[in-house]
Amino acid sequence: MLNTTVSTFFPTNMGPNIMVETTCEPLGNCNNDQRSFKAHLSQWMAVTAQLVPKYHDRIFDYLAPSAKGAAGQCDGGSDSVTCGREWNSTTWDGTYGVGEQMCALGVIQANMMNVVSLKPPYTSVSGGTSKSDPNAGTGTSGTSSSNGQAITYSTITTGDKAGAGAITAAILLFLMGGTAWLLIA
Amino acid sequence: MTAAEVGFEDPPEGSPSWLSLAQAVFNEQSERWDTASCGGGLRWQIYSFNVGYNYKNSVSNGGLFQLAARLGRYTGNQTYIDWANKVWDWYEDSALWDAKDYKILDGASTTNNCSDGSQEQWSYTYGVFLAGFSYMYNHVCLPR
Repeated sequence: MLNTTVSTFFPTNMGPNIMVETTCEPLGNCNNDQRSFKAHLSQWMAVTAQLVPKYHDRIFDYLAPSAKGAAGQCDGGSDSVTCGREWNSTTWDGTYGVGEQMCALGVIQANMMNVVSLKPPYTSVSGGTSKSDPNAGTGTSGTSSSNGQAITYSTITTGDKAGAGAITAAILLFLMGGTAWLLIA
Repeated sequence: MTAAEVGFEDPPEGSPSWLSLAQAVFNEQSERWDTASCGGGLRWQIYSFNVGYNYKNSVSNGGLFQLAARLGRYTGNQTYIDWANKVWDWYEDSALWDAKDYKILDGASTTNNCSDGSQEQWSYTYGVFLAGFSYMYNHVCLPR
């Protein structure tokens, strides 16, 4: 899987170990969603290095040059800190947007996880303290909190009905009055 | 899930914990596992009036696979690990996956029972599966 990831998204003809969204980036037709995808691959590759130490060096052989490439794209725009999309050139490519910013941030942050012997994510037995609720979201839980309890509704009273009727009448009157005014004026 | 994994302090009593929020997502998604078409898998959309309802895509199923792996690793509960295996077992036999070249294709249509996959490949989908495998490997193969 790592082999395919590398061969597909770090094409050798588009820079030394530089991440490219190969399905759309070379064609320049990535949509808004697709323009953010490299942020996610960066993040998950770094997490892989953390969880599977034997791949650490290989992964950062790709993430480090990609981050440098991204930084080289981040001197664009009227503010001179706007990031472009194509990390295989240090000249700002003229693109900008939330996806481009996310990708640059993602790949540079991923490199902040390039720490020798960085511990893997916590589990409940290795330092994680978040409380478990296996039935969360099913409407049957909530032993210690309001987690996942089904939404409850109050009974509708005569007063509620009268109020609803009055508001409906007011809206109708406003609509009809407004229409009449438009027609007359 | 990430908040739990980095040891971020839970919200105060009375609010859902980080872990329970992730468990709620898992419970809702696993309930939507759809065997009516393509022999299993999640659809891209929940509601039939949404464009993409007739599509089973890799990243939705990769998301459930990864979340199940992470919940299994975090809690030690085998039910989640079983689900991660179940999602992968379906996925690797589906047209969404090119077993010969280890390619993750974007998705396949339910209208022809997922008989052929879209040829598009996206980086984030690879990332989601790669990390899912890594959580599984870390949980199953490395000493705790």
